[in-house]
Amino acid sequence: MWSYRKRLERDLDRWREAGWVTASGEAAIRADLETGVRAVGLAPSLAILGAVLMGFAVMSFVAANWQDMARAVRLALLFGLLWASYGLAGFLLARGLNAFAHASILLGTAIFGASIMLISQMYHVDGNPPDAVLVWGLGALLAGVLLKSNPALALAMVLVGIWGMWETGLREEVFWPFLLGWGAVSAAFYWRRWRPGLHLSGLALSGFLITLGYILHGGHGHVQVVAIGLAIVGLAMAGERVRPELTGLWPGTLGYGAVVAFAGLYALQFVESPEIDMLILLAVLTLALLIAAIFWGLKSGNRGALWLGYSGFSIEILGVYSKTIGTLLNTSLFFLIAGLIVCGLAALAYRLHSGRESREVKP
Amino acid sequence: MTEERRNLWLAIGVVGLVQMAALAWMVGDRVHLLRTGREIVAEVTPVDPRDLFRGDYVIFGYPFSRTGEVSVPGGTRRGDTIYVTLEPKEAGQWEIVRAEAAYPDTTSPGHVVLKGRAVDIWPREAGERRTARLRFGIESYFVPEGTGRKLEELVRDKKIAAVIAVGKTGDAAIKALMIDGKRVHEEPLL
Repeated sequence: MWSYRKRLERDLDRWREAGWVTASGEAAIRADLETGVRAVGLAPSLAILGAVLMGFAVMSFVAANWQDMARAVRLALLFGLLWASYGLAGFLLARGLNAFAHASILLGTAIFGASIMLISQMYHVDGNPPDAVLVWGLGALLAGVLLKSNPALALAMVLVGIWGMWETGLREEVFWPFLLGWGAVSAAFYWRRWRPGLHLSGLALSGFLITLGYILHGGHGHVQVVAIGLAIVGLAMAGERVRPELTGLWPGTLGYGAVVAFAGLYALQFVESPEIDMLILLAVLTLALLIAAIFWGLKSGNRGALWLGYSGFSIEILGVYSKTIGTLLNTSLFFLIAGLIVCGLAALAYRLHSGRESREVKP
Repeated sequence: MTEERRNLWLAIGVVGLVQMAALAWMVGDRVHLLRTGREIVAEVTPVDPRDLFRGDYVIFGYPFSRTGEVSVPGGTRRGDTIYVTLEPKEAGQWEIVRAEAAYPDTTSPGHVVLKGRAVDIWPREAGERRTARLRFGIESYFVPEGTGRKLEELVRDKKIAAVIAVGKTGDAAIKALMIDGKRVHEEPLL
């Protein structure tokens, strides 16, 4: 929200000077921006934060007064709180106070999770903790879909992620059921056409795919990770041509595919210990891919790919730098050549970028 | 009431009911196990006697779990389910007779079968038998807030045992705590 506002204000100055926006038009846009910030940004944020605080209040109150209540009373209290928050949500939705209603739904799902934990504690359940996280996630997904609540769906994705990571940590193999949970919540995000949710999906899947490299083939499956990442990039490029109407989907998919491919290449170079000529080959390939990402970002206006290309570039250079210290190769010569290549690439990247900027400014 | 409004309340009802049913099922499952499970008493070896009551829960170690090492089939992997058959020795002492991947077909009446999960396994290469550390879900015991320290003093020089309910499929749950043969912290099931 803030970055959008800053950018718009900068653009407005430029547009007014160019004579595209009248003074009254500019004032109207600024007024709209103000009300937008207040009505859309602040109220739901505060309501959600309030719901989180109240969730903690409920948990600590119940936990602190545990011994004074019979088990049946504690259970009745938890069920009552659950119904109260969903009832309040219904009341608020019926009155069109959607932001507060969604905070109340989030509170309800938080109470559901707290109840699972408190019942586990009450009956000394100490089985498989990820199961509890999964049940909580399913409850959040149900609330998110039936009550059309994006915050509850976001919570569901976070919980599915925690479930997958926890189960992976408990075993020596890939935890494939994660994909089922991920797919269910992602489908809900897509159905709601909610972009921040789809980014959460992208993040969660990227994490899963990158982890594959450390589990498959005895922990040396990074080549497969690179291949999967590149396949996703290719899919996004093809998708943009075949189904251009899904504009929101492809740039993000491309970005996450590139992240996965880069993470795999990084592991191949710096986690595995390749021979020096292999390392150089991989480094050149990685830098070429990052330059391609920057180029693609500039060409298609994909800011994510651009940002990713630049930051990946710095990470890659740092990795090569620390890896080559103390190797048999003539270090100073290597740095001289690498430095020249990198400077050349940087100059090229700079020219490409500034070329675009000047084209953008020109009417 | 408009149809839209009716659908809204219907959705809220479904969400509330399903979530409540899930919680009730958790409770019912446990209560059933505690009520119908076979009761055994097993001596507890505190994992660290000086730090026994960390906050408001106790960590229990049993000779057959956590601190104990169990020989398991060679193909076992981390996270796999293992069924352990226990034989009673002297009061509160149990010894492992068998550890296998499936629930045993035959057991003698005195034996108890517990379902566990392998949390740690060595050596890394699969062999004829491997050694594992198992967890049975009876390793934590929660006490009311603020009473941990008092209990800690109480059990310093005494024998502690856990009263455990064991179900027909090997699931286990802690029912109560025993200090010098006396039950403490036992609550009605509901």
